Amino acid sequence: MPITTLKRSVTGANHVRQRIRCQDAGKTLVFKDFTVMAVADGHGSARCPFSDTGSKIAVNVFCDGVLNVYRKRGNMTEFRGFFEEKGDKPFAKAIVQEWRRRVARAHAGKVRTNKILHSSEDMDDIAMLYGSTLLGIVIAKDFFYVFQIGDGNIVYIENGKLMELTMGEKMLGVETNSLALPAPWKYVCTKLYDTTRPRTTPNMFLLATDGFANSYLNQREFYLGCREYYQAINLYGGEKVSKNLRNWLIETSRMGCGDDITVAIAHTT
Amino acid sequence: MGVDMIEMLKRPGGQLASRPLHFFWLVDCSGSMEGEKMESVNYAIKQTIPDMRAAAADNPNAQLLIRTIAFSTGAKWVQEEPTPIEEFSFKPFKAHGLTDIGEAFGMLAEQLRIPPMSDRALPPVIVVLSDGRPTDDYRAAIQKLMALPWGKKAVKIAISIGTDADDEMLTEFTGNKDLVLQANNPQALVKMIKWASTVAKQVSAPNSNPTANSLLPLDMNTIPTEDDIDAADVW
Repeated sequence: MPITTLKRSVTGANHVRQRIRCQDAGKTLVFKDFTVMAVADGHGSARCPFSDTGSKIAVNVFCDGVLNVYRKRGNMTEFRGFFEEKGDKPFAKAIVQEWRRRVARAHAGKVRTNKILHSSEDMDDIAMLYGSTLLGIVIAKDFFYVFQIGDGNIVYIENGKLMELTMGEKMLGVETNSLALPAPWKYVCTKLYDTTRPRTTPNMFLLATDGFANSYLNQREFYLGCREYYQAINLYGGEKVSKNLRNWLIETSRMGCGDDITVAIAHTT
Repeated sequence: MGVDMIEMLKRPGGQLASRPLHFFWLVDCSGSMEGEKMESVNYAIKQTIPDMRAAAADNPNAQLLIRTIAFSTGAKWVQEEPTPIEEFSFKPFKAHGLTDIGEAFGMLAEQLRIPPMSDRALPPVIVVLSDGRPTDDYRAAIQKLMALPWGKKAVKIAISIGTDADDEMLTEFTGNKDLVLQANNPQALVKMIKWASTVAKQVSAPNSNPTANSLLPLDMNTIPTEDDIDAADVW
């Protein structure tokens, strides 16, 4: 069954009021043998003025990183083997190092073009200016692999049954782990799921930045919301849902926590 | 020319809600507070209400809920139910008795458990005002408070009134001596109370904080200093 993806980022109601641009980013790529999706939530606080750039870099690094692994390994067995052997800290370390390298390059560009007049040369300080979370998933026929640094949700629904695929460290309030922290790979939460039995259809993978779950009254209502997205896709199809997704997420932020929201969905119907 | 018609679909369900922001005033109502100090506290807390309402109106995505505890000989809830600031009606405090702050911390700790607190709330703000030394076992109560996830994550501010306040105890509560604000005259007391009330606005933004840097989401530069205190600000 072919997999279809949809993705949307919206500026949160609070950022609209403050005229701050959306700090989230999302990316989805569909290949013949696998699909990769990533979402990232730039922190948006005064300490992280370029976190919109940081989140865009984060989703690109994850997708590029996965694609590179596939190219180097050459076949799906080896590809899966990589995540089994190195999918936790080693992969996370490689992703973080590449994120920091690209952040340094982006920052140098801002300095060169006088967008920043005074800048620290300390890379830890620079990284903090671009602070972001990162959630990613690789979906293949026989496995799926999830990756999470910081808050947000990765949910799978099959036959109406919902499962959270990562249970990252639950933090209260507005705290989160971040790519900008020292050695953030220590806090990565990854998991490789074998799916030797064929996944029944319809099914849906949903990645979301924390603004989505935080807009619901509680976890039960959040899960209900996810189930109803799944039902909407099955009922109306991905294309119609995709066309309505922006308005739905704007309404969700306005009536919820006011944060930016990014949702990426992969579904098979 | 073709027109791309979008069929408008109703948003999938799941009840949405703004995030609660619980704000607690813990007020020393011991006998030594009688007179000018108590009057200033009552005046200043009442004065903060319009500004807090305006701040809440500016951010409909956070629901500001107020509660108050008075401690003297024992402690009691003055406003026990979390009350939206729009509906909050201030009841003046009266001074008499001892300084059983430990009992107040204990009552607060019961309310910071999950449940009744929600894990999706914004960090609670706790403001303690005191002019004296504890007359009960405050240390065990602070430990109980700090053992709770929301006890650790709450934004804790103390206002030390006069020269006899136990700043060491207040620092144990805030975990940061910079957040023990000194109020040695009525003008300073009113200023500090007003500043503490603005913390709700600072905390209500949904921006994330990387954990290693998230000691406080506060702008410490705005804390009033001696030079900012002007009698004309008060009376």
